[in-house]
Amino acid sequence: MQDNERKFDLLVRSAMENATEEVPSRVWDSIEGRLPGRRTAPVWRWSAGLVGALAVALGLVLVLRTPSDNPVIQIAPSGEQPAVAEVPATAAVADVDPGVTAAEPAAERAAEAAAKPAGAQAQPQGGARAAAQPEAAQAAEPEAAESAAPAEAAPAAAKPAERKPREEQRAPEAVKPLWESAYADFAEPAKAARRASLDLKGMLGSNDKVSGNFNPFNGYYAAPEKSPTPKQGISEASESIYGIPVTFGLGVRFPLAGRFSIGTGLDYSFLTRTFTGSFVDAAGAVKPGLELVNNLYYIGIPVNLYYNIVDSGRLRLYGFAGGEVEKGVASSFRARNADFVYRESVPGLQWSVDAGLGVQYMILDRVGVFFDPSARYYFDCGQPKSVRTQKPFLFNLEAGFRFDL
Amino acid sequence: MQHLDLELHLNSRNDSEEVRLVRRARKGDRAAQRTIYERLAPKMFPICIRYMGNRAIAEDVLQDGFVTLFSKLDTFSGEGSFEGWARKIFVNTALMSLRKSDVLKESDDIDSAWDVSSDSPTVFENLGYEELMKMIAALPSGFRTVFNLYVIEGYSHKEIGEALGISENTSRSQLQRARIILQHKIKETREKNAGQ
Repeated sequence: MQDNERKFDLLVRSAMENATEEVPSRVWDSIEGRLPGRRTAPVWRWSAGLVGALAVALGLVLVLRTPSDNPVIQIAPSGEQPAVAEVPATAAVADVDPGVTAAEPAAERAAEAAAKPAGAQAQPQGGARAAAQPEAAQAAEPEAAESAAPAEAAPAAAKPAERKPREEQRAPEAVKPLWESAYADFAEPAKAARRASLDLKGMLGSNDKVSGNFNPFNGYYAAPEKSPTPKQGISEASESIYGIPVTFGLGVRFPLAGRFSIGTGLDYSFLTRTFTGSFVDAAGAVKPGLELVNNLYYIGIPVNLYYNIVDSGRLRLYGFAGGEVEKGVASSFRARNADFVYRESVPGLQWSVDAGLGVQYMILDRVGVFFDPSARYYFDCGQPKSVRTQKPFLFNLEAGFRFDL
Repeated sequence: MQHLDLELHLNSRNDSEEVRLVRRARKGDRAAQRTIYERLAPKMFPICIRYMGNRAIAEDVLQDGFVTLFSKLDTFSGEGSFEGWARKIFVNTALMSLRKSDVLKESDDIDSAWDVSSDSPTVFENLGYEELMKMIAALPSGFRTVFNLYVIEGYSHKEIGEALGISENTSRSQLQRARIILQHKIKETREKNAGQ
């Protein structure tokens, strides 16, 4: 008997002794990052940082940029009629009088009312507008008022030589910092932000590495729960390997007052884990050593409140917070090494809360792409074992297309 | 300083390539560390898989093991096999990880009704590495650990008991159960293959 055991042991040892396995290249990268002299953050950490930094950088670029929609008044150097032209601010930013840009919206509103009865043929905008709004021009822009005077008195405009050089006409007190005029542009959300929108989205979840082992490519691993072998059902005998949670969904967003909007929708989530376990059937017979894959499916309704931090029309940066209620619709255990499938119902509801920052970029007139990194906490609601019950605090990256309605 | 470097260099000429590599790695030479890694990793990875039961956790243990190895290079005396020394580090790292996750105490709930195989050991001959690795990896953690330590590493039940904090008898019974499960699995697979 012992002799047989010894021979069996020898056979196993000889089969295993000189074994080699191919090691993924990422292992060295991780080791190198942990060796003294150089430190590399794990992929998930630096990529999350990169997304955040990118969002902040884009926001700053837009805040510090002159808005592209604001027309800039350029006065023709010669000609009998005062020629007024509009060019995009970005194209002539070096030559722009910031005072003109800052005062323009007020002048524009007055001009629209005043220019029509005046019958300004040359241009219903620009200089004519400024002329029709003397208080705006005087308060912020004496130069604009002066240059716009020809709209009312053409002969004066016919003498361009008398006009002071542009630089001299500038009133220093009227020059506002670039950021201030840009801020004014963002003070009110763009019209697009006031529209309802439809989201088509997908989401990947991960989790932080607090006490378990986490690999962003393969999943999170946790020890089995200590539970007695059930009279009937699945019993775990090994660690569980948790796959990255995946969610697909449809959502709608409705504008509320000011910069706020509210979003809801329907999500479909898929959670998976693998482990080794056994199954006890109704007759009490045990099937041990099953390599099981447990798939859990949830349908959920999220509700989030959004706040637009930056809205330039094409790019939006926003924060959001809210919650979600989900109902488990199916849970199945399938064995990889045997012909075995076991299904069970999922009782109760899963409640969670989340908060995050999002970036949206309009790729078409009414179609945008968005990235919403967020953190979500899943409450203990007696749900089946999953990455959510093991690591209730998860980081998620939601991305998708947003259609303005 | 130059004189000292030259002296070290001349001394090292008599050393084996492995010792020189270790000496360079000890000083933090990244290229030497990489070479050591490339030589050892394919051999140490199967050890980690055998103990941890799956490749992904084994990758983490492999990482931890190499970080420990490079930080403990000073303690390698140069006598004996470097690979053997490294192997102990990886086994210890795996055991520490298993102990931390508390899985070593969770093997007794597998109630097997199987008996000890009375088959001749020839039934188990020509075991393929991959086939066997899968079966060992699927063993419950406690059985797997004792089986690895006893059968492959060659530790005694007394040493295993001390390392895992269990009695010698527990070690013996876990080893026995591991053998039974493995033998049945091998037979099942053989019969299945023969039937196809």
